[in-house]
Amino acid sequence: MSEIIRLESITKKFGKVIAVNNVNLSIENGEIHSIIGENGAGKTTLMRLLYGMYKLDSGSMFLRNESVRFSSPKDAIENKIGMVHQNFMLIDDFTVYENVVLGLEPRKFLSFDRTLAREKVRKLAEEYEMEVDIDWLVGKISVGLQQKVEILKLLYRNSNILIFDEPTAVLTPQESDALFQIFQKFKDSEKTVIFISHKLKEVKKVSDRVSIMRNGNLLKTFINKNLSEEQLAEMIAGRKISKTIPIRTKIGKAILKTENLTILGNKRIPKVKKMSFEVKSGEIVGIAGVVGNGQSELEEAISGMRKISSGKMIFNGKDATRMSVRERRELGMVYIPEDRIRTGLAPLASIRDNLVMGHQNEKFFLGSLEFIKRSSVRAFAEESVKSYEIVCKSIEEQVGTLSGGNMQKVVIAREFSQNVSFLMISQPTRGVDVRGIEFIHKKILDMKKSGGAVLLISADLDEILALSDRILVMYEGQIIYSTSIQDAVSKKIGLAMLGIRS
Amino acid sequence: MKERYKGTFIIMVSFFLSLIVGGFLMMFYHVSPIDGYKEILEGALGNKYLVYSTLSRMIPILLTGLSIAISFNAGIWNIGAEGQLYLAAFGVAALGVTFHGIPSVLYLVLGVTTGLAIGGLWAWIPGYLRVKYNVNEVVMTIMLNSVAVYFTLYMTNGPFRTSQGALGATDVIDKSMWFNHINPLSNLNTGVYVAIVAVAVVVYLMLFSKRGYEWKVSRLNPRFALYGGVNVKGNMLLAMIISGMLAGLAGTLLVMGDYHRFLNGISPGYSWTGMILAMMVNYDPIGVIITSFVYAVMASGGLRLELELNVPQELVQIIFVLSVVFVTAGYAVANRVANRIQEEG
Ligand SMILES: Nc1ncnc2c1ncn2[C@@H]1O[C@H](COP(=O)(O)OP(=O)(O)OP(=O)(O)O)[C@@H](O)[C@H]1O
Ligand SMILES: [Mg+2]
Repeated sequence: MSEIIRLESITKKFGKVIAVNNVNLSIENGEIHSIIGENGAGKTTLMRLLYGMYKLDSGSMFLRNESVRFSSPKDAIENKIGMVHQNFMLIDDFTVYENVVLGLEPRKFLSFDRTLAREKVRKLAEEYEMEVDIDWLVGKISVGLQQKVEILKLLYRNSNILIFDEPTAVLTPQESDALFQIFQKFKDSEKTVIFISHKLKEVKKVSDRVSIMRNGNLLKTFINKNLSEEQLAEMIAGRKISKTIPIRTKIGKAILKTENLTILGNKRIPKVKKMSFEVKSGEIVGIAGVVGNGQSELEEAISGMRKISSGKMIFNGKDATRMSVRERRELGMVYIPEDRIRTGLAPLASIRDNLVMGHQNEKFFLGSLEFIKRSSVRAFAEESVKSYEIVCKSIEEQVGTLSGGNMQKVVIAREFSQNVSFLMISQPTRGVDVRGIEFIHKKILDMKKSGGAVLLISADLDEILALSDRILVMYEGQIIYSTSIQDAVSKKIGLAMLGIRS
Repeated sequence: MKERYKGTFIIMVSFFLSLIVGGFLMMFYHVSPIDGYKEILEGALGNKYLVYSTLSRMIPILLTGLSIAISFNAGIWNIGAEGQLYLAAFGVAALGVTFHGIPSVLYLVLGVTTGLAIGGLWAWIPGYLRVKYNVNEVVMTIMLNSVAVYFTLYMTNGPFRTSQGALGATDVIDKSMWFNHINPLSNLNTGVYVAIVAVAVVVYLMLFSKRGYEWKVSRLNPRFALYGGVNVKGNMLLAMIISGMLAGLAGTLLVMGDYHRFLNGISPGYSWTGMILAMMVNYDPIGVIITSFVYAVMASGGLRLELELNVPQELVQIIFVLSVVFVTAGYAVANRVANRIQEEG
C-alpha cells in the first residue's frame, strides 16, 4: 500500500485553546482509518484542517507525497477529498437532489438542468442502495436520511478520500451496518475512508488502523487487530472505564401513563397508533426500535411539543393530554431530545442563555415583574460549566463553537439541574465519548435510585439492555413486543425491531 | 472581542468615516469641516431651546425604531410600523375633532390610549394571522401599510376634511387634548414624558425581563424555545402588538403634541429611518436610543448648516446613508477579520 496523506507537525489554535497540537499522521491509500478520542480532543478540527475549512497555524500536508496547502474546502474538493460533517451542512429548504448537486449543478445552456440533476442523484442513490426520496425537502427528513444526502454529495463529487465525522452517532445499528457496507464498497474501489466514532465496537469492526487523540495530541496509531476494545477505551480516557452496572430499586406508582395515544406525523398521517404504556417511579423503561418508527413523534408528544390527536396521557396523577410544555416541565418532566443541536440548543445563543432555558420561570432566576436575576443566572451558568466540565472560553461564548460533545454537555447540564420526577431521554449517548457515556449512564441510574421514572428511547440495543427494567419495542407506531429485563432475549428484541414477532 | 463591543466599535468607526467624507463634501462649498460640524452641533445643541427641538425631533424616530427593534428581535417582522403610525394618528385626531368638553387630563389619557389601541390592533391582525395560520407577516404588514395610508388619505379628503380649506388634513383637535409646549420657544411638549415611560418599558422588557430573553432565544431558534417551554407564538404576537403600540404612540404624539391635527404627510417615513437604525444596532434598544439621538442632532444641525453656511442640509442625509453603508460593510469585514484572528490565534 502507498501513502496517500501525510500530515507533519500540524498545529491549530483557537485563541488560547490548542485544538490540534503538533500532530503527525500518515494515511494509506485504500485503508479505513479510524480516529478516536474524547470530546474536545481535536478530531473534528484535525479533519477540518485536512478538508481546508481551517488554515494551519504551522506544519505541512502532503497528498501523494506532494506538498499541498488548502485555503478553502474548494481546494480539498478539487483534490477529491470529501467530508461528512458531525453537524450536517445541508440547506433545509432545498430538496435532497438540490442539496446533492449544490455548487456543482449540471447546466443546460445557462440554466440549472433539473432533469439531469435528478437523474444523476437517483442513479447514485441506487448504486449504493440508499433509499431516499430525492424530492423531499431536507428539513423534513430524518437525520439518518440527511446523512445519506451528505454521502451522496461526496459521491457526486467523485471524492476518493472520504472523511466521516461521527457518522454513526445518528444511525441505528442496522443503518450503521449499511454504512459499513458502503465503506467496504469504497474500499473495494480503492477509496480511502477516515472514520471518527465514539463507538469502539464499530471502530474495532471496520478499521484497518486506529489513531488515538487526546488533548489535541495524536498519541499513537495502531493496527486495529493488535488492540482490544477495552484497551482502546483505556487509551482514550487514560484510565479504566467502569461498565454500567444496573441497580435494583423499589418500583413505585406510575408517574407517566398513556392510554391509546395516537399522534400524527409531519405528513399528517398517524405515526403513533393507540400506544398504551406506563413508566413507574424507580423504573427505567427502554423503548427500542429502528429510527423512524414513531419514536420522534412519541417523544415530542410526551414533551408537549406535538399535539396528541387522540388518547390520554396522565402525568403525576394529572391529565396532561393538553398541557403545555411549560406545565409539564413544572410538574417535573425533563426531556433530552434526539436532535440535540436543532431542538436542544440555540447554537447562536451564548452558553449562558442555553443553560437557563426551561429554568427561566423558576423563583431562583425570576424576580418580581418578570425581572431576570442576572447574577443568579451567571452563577448558575458558571457552576454548570464547572461541574459538567464544559470546555469553553467563557459562558458568553456561542454554543455553536463548542465541540460536539461539549454541546451535549450543555444540554445535559441544563436538564439534570432541574428538580425532576420523570426523565425522557432519547439516544442519550449519541456522539458522547466513553467517559461521557459512563457519566450519563450514572446520571440515569441516579435518577432511578432517587425514585424518578425514566423513559429511555434508544436505537442502541446494548444501551437499552444495560439500563432498562422493562423493554418495549416500537414498530410502525405500535408496541410490538414487551419484556422485563429478566426475560429479555436480545435476539427476540432484535427481530421485533424489524417487525418480526416470535 | 465580545459580539456587543464589536458592533459598537463598527458603528463608531463607520460614523467617523462618514463624518470625514461629509467633511470633504463641505469643502466643496468652501466651508471648513471644523466650522461645518461646529455649526451642526451649535444648531442642534447650542442652547436649551435647540436641545428641546432636537429631542422633539428624536421622539418619532426613537419610538418607531424601538417598534421595529422589539418585533425584529422577537423573530416577527413588522414592516407595518408606518401604517400603524398613520392609522393611530388619524384615529386620535378623529377623536379629538369629534368630542369637546372633556376635561384635559382625561382627554389626554383617552387620546394616548386610543392611539396605543389602534396601533396595537393594526399590528395584531398580521400577528394573529401569522401565528394562527402562518400567513407571511412581511407581505401582510406591507399591504396593511397601504390600506392605512390610503384610508387616512380618503378620510382627510372626505368625511374628516378640514373646514379651513387646507387639503389633506383634519381640523385642529380639541385644545384639551393637546400636549402643551414645555417652553414656548421650542417644539418639545409634555408628550415627551409619555415617550420616556414607553422607552423605559421597552428597555426593561427587552433587556431585563424574562420576556426579552424568551424573545431573543425564539428568534435564534424557535424550536428550541418551544422545547424549553416558551409560548413562542404567544410571545411573537405580544411583540407584534407592543411594536404596533409604539408606532401608534409615535403617531399619537405627533398629533397631540406637534401638529394638533392629522395631516397626510404626517410621517416623512419615520418608521423606515427607525428600521434602519434598529437593524444597524442589531435590535439593541440602548443602541436605538443613541443612534436616534445622533440622527436627530444631525437633522437639526443640518438646517443651521444650510442657513448659516449655505451647505445644503441634504448633506447630513448623505452622512447618515454613508454610515449605514459603512456599518453594513463593516460587519462583513469584521467577520472576516474575526475569523482570521481566531484562526491565526
Ligand atoms: N471554531 C472554533 N472556535 C473556537 N474553538 C473551537 C472551534 N472549533 C473547535 N474549538 C475548540 O477546539 C477543541 C477541539 O474541538 P473539536 O471539535 O476538534 O473536538 P472533537 O475531538 O471533534 O470533539 P467531539 O468528540 O466532542 O466532537 C475544543 O476545545 C473546542 O472547543
Ligand atoms: Mg467532533
